[in-house]
Formats: sequence, C-alpha cells, structure tokens
Amino acid sequence: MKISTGIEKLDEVLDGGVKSNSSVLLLADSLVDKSSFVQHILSARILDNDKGIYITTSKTPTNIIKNMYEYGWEYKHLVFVDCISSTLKEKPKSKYALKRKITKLPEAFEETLKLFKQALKDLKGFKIVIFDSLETFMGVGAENIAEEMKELKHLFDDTKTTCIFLLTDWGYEKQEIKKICNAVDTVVNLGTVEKKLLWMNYFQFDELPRIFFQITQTGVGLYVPKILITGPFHSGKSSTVHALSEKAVSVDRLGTTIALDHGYIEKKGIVCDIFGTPGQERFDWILKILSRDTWGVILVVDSTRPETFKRAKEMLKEVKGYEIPFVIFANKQDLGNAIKLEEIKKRLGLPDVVGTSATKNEGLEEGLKLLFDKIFKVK
Amino acid sequence: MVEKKKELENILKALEEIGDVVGSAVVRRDGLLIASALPSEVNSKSVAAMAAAIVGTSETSVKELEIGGFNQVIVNASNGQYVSIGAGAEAILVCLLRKSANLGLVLLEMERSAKKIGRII
Repeated sequence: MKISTGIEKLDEVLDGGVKSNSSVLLLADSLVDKSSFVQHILSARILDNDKGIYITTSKTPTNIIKNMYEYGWEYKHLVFVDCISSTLKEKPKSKYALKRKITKLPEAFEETLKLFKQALKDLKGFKIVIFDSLETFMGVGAENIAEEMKELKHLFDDTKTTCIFLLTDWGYEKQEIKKICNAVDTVVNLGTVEKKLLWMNYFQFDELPRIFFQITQTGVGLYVPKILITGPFHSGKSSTVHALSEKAVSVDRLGTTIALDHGYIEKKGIVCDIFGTPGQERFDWILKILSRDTWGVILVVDSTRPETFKRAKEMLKEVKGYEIPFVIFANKQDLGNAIKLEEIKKRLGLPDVVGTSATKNEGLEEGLKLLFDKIFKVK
Repeated sequence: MVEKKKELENILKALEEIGDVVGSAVVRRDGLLIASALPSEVNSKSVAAMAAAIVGTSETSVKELEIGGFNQVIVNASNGQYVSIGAGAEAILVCLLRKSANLGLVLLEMERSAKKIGRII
C-alpha cells in the first residue's frame, strides 16, 4: 500500500507515495532545509491519523514544534525521541530521552536506537517516524549505521511503521553514502542548483527530472521562477494576473496595459512570479524584454472574438512560446456569445486549451496546474 | 554557491553607507529579484519587475533614437528619486535615494558597485 506524502508532485514521482511499512532516505545537500521539508510530510501523515514519532539529534523538541507551528503544520500527539536536550543541559520532557549527556558516539547511537525501538513498540497503530538526522552518527561508520537500519526494517513491518531518515551529505565518501542508500527501500535526493543567481531547491527520485520547490508559509510548493502571460488586446491578461496572484501590480493607462503586469503566486503548492505583457501591437517590442528566461507561457484568448486568434498565435511565436511549455486560456467563457471550447481548439489548432473566466475566477488554477505539469513533466 | 549571494548583499550594504541611499536591489534583467535591501514596506518583487521593464524600455529607446550607449535611468519624484543602471549582462542595480541626494556621488558609487556585481555574476 502507498501512503501520501502531502506533496502532490512527490507522490507522483513515487508512483502514489511511499510504501507503508518501509524506510525512506532523504539525502540532502547542505543548502536545503531538509527538516522543514520532512516536517511538511510529517504533518500530512498526522492529519491522515498516523501517529508521529520524531527522533531528534540536533534541534530541541521545543524548536521543532515552534517551526511546525509557524508553518501552520499539524503536530498533534507528536512523540519525541529526544537525544539532544541532555547534551544541551536542558531537562528533557519526553519519556523517550537520553537522560544524561553521552560523549561516546557509539554509545549514544546505541542508546538512541534503544529508545527508538521502545517508542515503536509502545505506540499502537500506523506510525510515521522522522529520524533527524543520521549525520550525527556518521562517526560510528556508515557500515554500522547501515547494518542497524537494515535490522530495523523487520521492526517497521511488525509495528506498521514508515520511517524517513534524513542525511545531509557533508562530503562523505561515495562508498559510505552508497551503503546508507542500500539500507533503505527508497532514496529521494534533495539538492540545490544555481541558475543565473537564483538558488533553486529540488527533489529528485531515481533518474526522473528534478522538481524545483520552495518552502513558503504555505509549506512545500512547486517553484517556477517565471511565467509569462500574453495574448491579444483586451483578452483579459491583466485580470488573469490579478485573479491568480495574492499581490499584483499593473502598469496600465486608459484601461490597457502599457508596460507590464506583475503578480506573485504562493498557494496550493505552487510558487511563482507571473509577468503579463501588453496586447496591443504597438507595444510588441516589450514582449522580448518581458519574455526573457521565462519557464512557461499562458496565452490568453478572448473566446468571443475568434478574429483575434491569428494575432494570438503570432504573439505566442514572438515570445518563443512554442519552444517552452505553454497552455491556452480561452477566457470569457462565462459570456453568452463565447465560442465552445472544442471549436476554439479546432480553430487554433493547438493543444492544451482550458476554458477560463478571469472575472469569475474560474478555470484559472486548473490551467496553471496544467502548465506546471507540463513544466515538470515526470514521465 | 552561497558566497555569491553574501557578496551581493555586502555590496548593497556598503551602498547604504552612503548617506543618501535609502535602499537598493539587484534585479535580473528578466525582472526577477536577486537580492534586496529595499525598505521592508516596499513590494520589492514588483519593483524588480518594473525596474527591468524600465531599463529594458530605456535601452531600446536609446537605440531607436541613436543617441549612443545607455547609461542609467533616473526617476525623479516629489519625495525622492531612484536610479537604475546595468550591472553586467545579466543584472540591474537599483538604488532608492533621498530627494536631496548628491546624485553625482551616488552615481559614481553605483557604477563601481555595478562593476563588482557584474564580475560576481
């Protein structure tokens, strides 16, 4: 059986989610906030009535709860295996805690595992466990850690547990990393790349394409730096930008956009900047400026004015839309004289046409999702 | 990788030490914000998008008018002003200034910083 991670695209690349009663490794580089990433998953599982166990070796339970609270994530009945408080000379509150500071690493590892196993046995029902994180114990040797992790697998089966181990790669030997990877059922990579001074976090499973994400106040969201909205005069581009965004500004005069619209989207697992172009031909030179480095295009057409479709296709060409993912918003579908979607598809001769109404906020999110799917084509 | 960002932030910080600079930002030429030291109440993402459009538009018009190479855009308002200049092929430097700012001095410093930014990128 597969269980959802609460991150739609991650579920998709994992073919429905992670296997129940299995172990997962999140292998991260040092620039990714792997703890917040995994806390989003933890929250989703708790909301789905799993019991949560959090093994922490570097942050105190108070700090973890604080972080989850700030993101608005669920941490109800979360049980901590606290291996840090005593080291910091704080009194641990959890029943499962190292009672004193242990300086010898092998002993600390052993004690941690003991507490972990005890917690697994004590708690009934389906469990999600976060092990944050393995690098604390890398000093005892990857071989030894991997051995213990393999051993734990049986216990996961018996106690209905899915466990997510975290490991930041601080430049360990490839061999060592490989050993840890081989000890789990699923490995997901978390990494960072720089693209022209934008730092982009991604997750990646197997050889599948990287999925870029950002962690915002709404949690882990797919991240596309820039989407362009273009289309003929009066097709509803500005209205679309404003309806999609939390915050948007327009440079418009006399009811028409003369420079650009800019909006920022941060909702429902999607994060991006959107740029709207003017539609009138006399501003065509600005299309080149605005379309620079865009990841995807939304072409907005007026469903009541088929005579503008030719111009729409020209604009798509102008912004090099045919070379990157694009979708078409057949706008003003709420109007009585709007042409049917099928007819518009036929007349445009282009795929991925979505019926929208920017003023009534209909079809927009669905269309945006389709564009994101095209950008992060998984299969 | 992170060092680059730090370097940029340091350049912006140094700019603010010139008394007349109220805030500044580095913007990609496609309108995305790279680093911002603009006042917190400013919607810096939108300002970034507009600055890119202003610079792009100005550069294009300079070309059309055949009046040489583009230097900077200065926007003058009743309570302040702001200047945008190119910083290498990929970026733009934007500075928000006090109304009474010593423009000559600020421009000099901005050009120096823009060169540094260009090198970093």
